[in-house]
Amino acid sequence: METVYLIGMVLSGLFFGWTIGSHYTGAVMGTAFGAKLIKPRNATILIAIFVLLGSTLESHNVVTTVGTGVIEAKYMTIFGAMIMMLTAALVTAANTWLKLPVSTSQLAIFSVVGAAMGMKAQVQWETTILALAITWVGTPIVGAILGFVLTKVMDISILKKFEKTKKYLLIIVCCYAAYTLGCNNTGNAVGVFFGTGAIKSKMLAGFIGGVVMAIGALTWGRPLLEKVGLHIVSLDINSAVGAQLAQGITAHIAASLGYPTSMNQAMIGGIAGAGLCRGIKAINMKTMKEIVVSWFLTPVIGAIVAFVLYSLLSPLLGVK
Amino acid sequence: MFKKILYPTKFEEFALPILKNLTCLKAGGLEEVIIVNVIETESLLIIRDSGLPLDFDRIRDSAQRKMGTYAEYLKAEGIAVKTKIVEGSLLPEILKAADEEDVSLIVAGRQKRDILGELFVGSTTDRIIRRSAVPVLVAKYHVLKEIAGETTEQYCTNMFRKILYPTDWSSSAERAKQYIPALHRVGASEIIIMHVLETEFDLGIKEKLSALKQEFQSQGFKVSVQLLKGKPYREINRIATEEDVSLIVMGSHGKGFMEVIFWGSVSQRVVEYSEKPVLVVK
Repeated sequence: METVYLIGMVLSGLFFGWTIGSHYTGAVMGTAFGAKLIKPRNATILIAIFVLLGSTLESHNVVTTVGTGVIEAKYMTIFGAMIMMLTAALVTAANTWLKLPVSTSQLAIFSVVGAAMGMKAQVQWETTILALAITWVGTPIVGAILGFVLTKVMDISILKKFEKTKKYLLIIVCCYAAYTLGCNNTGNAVGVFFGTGAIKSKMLAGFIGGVVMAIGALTWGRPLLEKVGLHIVSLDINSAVGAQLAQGITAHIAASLGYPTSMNQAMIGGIAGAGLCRGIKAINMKTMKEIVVSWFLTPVIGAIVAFVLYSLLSPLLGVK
Repeated sequence: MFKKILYPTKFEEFALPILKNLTCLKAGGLEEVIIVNVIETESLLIIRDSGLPLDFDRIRDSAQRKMGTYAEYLKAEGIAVKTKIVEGSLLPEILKAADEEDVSLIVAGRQKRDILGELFVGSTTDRIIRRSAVPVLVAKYHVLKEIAGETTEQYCTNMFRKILYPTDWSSSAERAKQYIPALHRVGASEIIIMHVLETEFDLGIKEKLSALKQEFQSQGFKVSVQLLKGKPYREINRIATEEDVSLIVMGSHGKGFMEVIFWGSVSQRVVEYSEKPVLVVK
């Protein structure tokens, strides 16, 4: 039976990773694509390469947090991990129709929390969860500050003579955002692989997560990007670099600390900061409300689904 | 009967040819076409959630430009046009527009289903038929593809050239029959009346078919009759293809609450698998 749970955990985790790879193509490459600087095929290839690099080289701290930071490794059973990843996969799949503002990082963390509550394992509320909560609240704020500052820097007159090279800079910045997507989000999908001991190397876990995320970007990223190209406001190049770089740096800092955060909320902050630089109010009350709703909604959904699944399935399958 | 038509569009490749196709309904009383485009806000959520700023002005401008082409064509044909761009969920907005404008027909496009398509039942067209209070004309894109190269006028006449009218004398089939004289005015000259026996004991059917034949003949149609055994939807689609009819006119069957859930399994399957356009009458 343990093998079945292991397969369930791996498949659910990989599905979750694949959806992350496909869903975030717009968030990391949308500004360059919206400015018509890159073709969709090339954009998804670049995302795949840089996500894989970020996952392999710098996702280890997030892998550690998701795998062993929310609950101690001794509580992380294969069955529990399967429930955690199954929750993440199910909620993500259901959200294709529900369309709720759900953050994948918050979902992964609270799927672990919910299953832990089901198995009566001690959750690290005062250390890991508190730090994560601070990270999540801080993400759009830091994103906004950086978005403002970086756009100001881009506006400096001395850079005006490099106007032609700025478009290449935007593509590089988008590649960096893809790299940070790998650093920041891979652990959400494969952290429990490491936590259960199914994979002993954090780098290998990151690499496997990176591969499925890259496949996600290559398979489903293109239609999303094309939709982005047709439907977004085309930002001026300085704002686009400022906002996208703000997103990348914010998520990179969080990932380096081991606290996965929302790439989307980092981008919302970045765009708001860049907009402020232009005297445009790029964030409204509705968006702010949705961010706050997401902070509460995702943890509640993730925790409840994981708790219920664990509580129902463990007696049914005779898991102690 | 076809005084005011609602034409929802996502500006697909064959949206304009279908619209051109409908202009000959003018001879059947068509006065106005309401073209509606729904900006599906739900499908844009993934972009908005990414933090990227949506440009609704640009989306609306693009839709308005495309609609302008359609509107110009219809106006040149002497048909009044109203264009609407609305934001929201596709199905409720289409039904709302149909209700507000008090249309007498909704025209929807639909690809013929293959085996894979069977796994994904429940397209927007299905849902429009289920929920609409007025008849729905389901145009088939691949049919338009087949006739690529022919002039629109030829095809226009073709769509209402030869009608297949399957009937089981249910109330919805009888309502569908009422549209047939109007189709004669827009170019229909031939009609095949069809009934599929599901049991051996269907007494009085031949007499009913004969009476119906006479009725259509008196309206000026060249009429033939098909009395067959088998699965109704399969036989309908087979005859439609073999006889190369240009349009199937049929009732939706279902009644009351169940109508919403099962809007008539025969008509649903005909719409799904037929190669030919279908006019589904509630």
